Amino acid sequence: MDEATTPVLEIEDLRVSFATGDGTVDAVNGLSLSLEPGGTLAIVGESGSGKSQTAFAVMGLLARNGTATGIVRLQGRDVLTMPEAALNRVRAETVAMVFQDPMTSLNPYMRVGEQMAEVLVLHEGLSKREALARSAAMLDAVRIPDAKGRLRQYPHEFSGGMRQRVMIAMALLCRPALLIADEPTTALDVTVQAQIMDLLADVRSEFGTALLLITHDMGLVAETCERTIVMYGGRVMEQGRTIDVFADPTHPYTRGLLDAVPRLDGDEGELRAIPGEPPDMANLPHGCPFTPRCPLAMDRCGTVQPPLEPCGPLLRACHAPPEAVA
Amino acid sequence: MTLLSVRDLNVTFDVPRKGAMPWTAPDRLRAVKDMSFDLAAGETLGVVGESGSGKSTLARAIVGTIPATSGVVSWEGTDLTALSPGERRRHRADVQMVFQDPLAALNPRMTVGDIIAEPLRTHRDVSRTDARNAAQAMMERVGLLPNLVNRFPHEFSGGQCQRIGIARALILEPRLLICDEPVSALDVSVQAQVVNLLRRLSREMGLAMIFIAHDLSVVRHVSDRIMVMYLGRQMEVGPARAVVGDPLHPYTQALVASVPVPDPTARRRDRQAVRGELPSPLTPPSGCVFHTRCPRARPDCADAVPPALRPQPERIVACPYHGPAEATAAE
Amino acid sequence: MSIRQATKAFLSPAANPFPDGVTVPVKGRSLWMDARTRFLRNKAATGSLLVLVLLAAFAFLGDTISPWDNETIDWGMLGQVHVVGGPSLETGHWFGVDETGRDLFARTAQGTRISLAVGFVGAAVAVVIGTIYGAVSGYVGGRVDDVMMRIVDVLIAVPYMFVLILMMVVFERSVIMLFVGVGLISWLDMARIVRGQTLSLKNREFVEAAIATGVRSPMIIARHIVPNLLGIVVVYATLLVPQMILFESFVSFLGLGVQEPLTSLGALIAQGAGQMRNDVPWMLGFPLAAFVALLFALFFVGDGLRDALDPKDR
Repeated sequence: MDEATTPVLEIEDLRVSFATGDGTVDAVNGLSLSLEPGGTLAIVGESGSGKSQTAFAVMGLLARNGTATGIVRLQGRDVLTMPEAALNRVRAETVAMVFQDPMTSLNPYMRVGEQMAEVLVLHEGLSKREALARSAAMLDAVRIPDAKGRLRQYPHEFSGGMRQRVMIAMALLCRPALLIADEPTTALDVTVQAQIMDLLADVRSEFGTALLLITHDMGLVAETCERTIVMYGGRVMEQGRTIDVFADPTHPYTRGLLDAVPRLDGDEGELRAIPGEPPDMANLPHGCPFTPRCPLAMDRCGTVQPPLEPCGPLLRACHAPPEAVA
Repeated sequence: MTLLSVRDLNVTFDVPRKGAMPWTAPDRLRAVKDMSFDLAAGETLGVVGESGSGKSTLARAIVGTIPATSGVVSWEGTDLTALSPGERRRHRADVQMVFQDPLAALNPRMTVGDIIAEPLRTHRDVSRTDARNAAQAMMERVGLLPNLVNRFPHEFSGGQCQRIGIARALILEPRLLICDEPVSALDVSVQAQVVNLLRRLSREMGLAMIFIAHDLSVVRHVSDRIMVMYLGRQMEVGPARAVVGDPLHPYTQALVASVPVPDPTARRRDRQAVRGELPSPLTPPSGCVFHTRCPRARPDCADAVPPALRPQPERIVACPYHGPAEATAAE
Repeated sequence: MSIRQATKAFLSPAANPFPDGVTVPVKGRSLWMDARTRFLRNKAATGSLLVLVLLAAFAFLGDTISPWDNETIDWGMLGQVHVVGGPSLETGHWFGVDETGRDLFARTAQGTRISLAVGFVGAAVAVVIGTIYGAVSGYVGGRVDDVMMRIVDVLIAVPYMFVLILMMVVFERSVIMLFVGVGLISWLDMARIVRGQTLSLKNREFVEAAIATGVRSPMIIARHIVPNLLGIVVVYATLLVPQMILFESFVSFLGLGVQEPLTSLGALIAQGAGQMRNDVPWMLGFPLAAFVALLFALFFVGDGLRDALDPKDR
């Protein structure tokens, strides 16, 4: 396979589990995906769905009591089995991550310029002067006015949206092939969220970066990503092109989620809620984790996990006939 | 019938200047400025605004946990701000509040039954057993199993904790419920449950509600009227359907355009994005506070505070250059 | 059936998902019970708690099982203590005797009792006064808080060891005096810690909810503030006990503590240390062992409590 067609990210049967005081908790159960260069993919789910742990597993950032098994390939290289040093290099070259709270990933006692330049000096061996020049250019690219002057400021002197711009600029410094954005706009106001999402779209087309968007917001998924994976309780419920998932979902959870989202268009009044509570990750049913809340649940749903199988243009994991989900 | 009437309400905080001497005058942060509105019995008013818009401060000034600097908050003709603390305390049974963080709003050392019964035992002379029975009845009403009365908050999920908070707020059968971002900490599927519950209860109990949220699409599902706030000022007030469907103020239009639509076929609309971010509330822009980000701003917007105009019945817009959204996009 | 109809059916009252008999209240699991489970899982802490119980039993029951009391001089030992005064089962002096022939087992038991009493009185004063003082200061805030905390600042600035020694010299040297001295200083830090915690608790939403409901301030302090402070108060109090014991030992080591024939661990250690050159290691060894065991056990228990009550696990 040549460079152009090798997926930037390929995951096969990823499993993430955590050893806790009350036993093992399975956060991700058999996730597979493939993201081509420049592509966009969303992993959407609510709390406890395992969407963030998937991202952490790819980045090698799992908490100390967590273990990941399966295959994770970044540009064709398997990272889970790689020794630490080699992994760090691959990671630095191919993938970067933007977090929900930019303040936690910026050092409050260092000027923004120094933090950005440090990355370039470390990974690309640039001189300090070159590194600062490139940092300024990158801040310019994420539309921060007066980039040169801003380099000399500390993180707390930036507003929330500006900080997220800085994070995106830092993430793009080494020209990664893949950008993982974990709830990048959840902490921001809607008007600023719109700006940041527009920016992400622009830099993506400018740098040809692939985007893995982790979010709970169906609206953002619809607006940004070509393909979508819907997760619940650590398992993939449904997976496919975003247009197909939204137009004709084949899984009762996806259907319920789409119905539950409050919208500006459509009718006012009662929302269609999904009954029940979010999954208790320490006590999942043996079968499909959505069983306790599913209106179509049958006896075997609670005991036999349905396999992820093709259904029309989509992949879905559900025992109920697809006609029932309409 | 007007239940609550707010007139020219101002809430100002003193913010000590950094590195200043103790005797120098502190900076003044005007969190809520010249706010006026009425609320009828049984009506739901949605209050929308981004962080720093003063919507939570407004809620607390009405409840009375933050003192109003000036203005009148009158409850059926009685000015609450002029009451003594003791008299005010008696009025608290009429206005109750639901908070943003469901778990943080519950005392972790108290059982759910004690938490829900606390307002009852504060305001009414009831026995422990009666209070407990009332709490259990209330739990059933908000969709919780009444046999969980001896459990502690940490044993519940976020959505259930919010139901507990609602049960506590409603046990005195108040006439006004103020919900401060009641669903923003919840998952989408649970958020819909809580929104529906609040709708149902307000109808059943004839409750008036002030529903505060940053998410216009949630507010739209509960409110009769919507008020849009920006930097502590009222931008637009009107019937919910009109404000969302035909926003007149450029800021409301920006809010509506910024909400992502869960429909991939409608994607990449040309959204009318506003520039920049919220200015510091310590040094708000002159004239119309929105003019620094407004796509329709004209030079004179910086000069004078725009008057509250009534272009349609029931609607108030604080912008002399208001107009339908298409007009903004065309400019 | 479409999924929307199915959802409706699922939600309708007819399809009650709850089995019968749900009206019997289920017992809740309080944070204290959680903490106890965590504490019991901590082996060092439970082991230390056991040691502490044994030491307490030794301190309070030691006198009754020993054939000798703590002040009777065994005249047969006098003059040849270093030869025959060692620990022995036959003579009944299980820990040996001190240089004047008094039974060391009884004296160590009695000294441990004094040390424990000093430690727990100090901690109790700190818990009661410090908690109330700090909670009121922090909750009321404003000028009251300023005044109350400046008082604490001034008291902390006083060189207490100096004052205590002066008090011991001016008034009679007695156990009561020691308790007063310990009580005077022990609550200061506690008040500061509690005040800090109260300030952060005050801004929690459940306190705001209580205020909005119209609960009166004393009730809010009693029902919402103090129960949520107890975790940190308990932890700090357990760590305060050894601090107070060390403090008492230091005073006794200087010869200003309790008066003969009463003794304390500090005084016994001082005496034992003075007799080191006379080839009587037991005089230092037994009191020191009891002292070290006591302090270690208290520290481990305090540590275990801190882990068990850690607020981040909430």
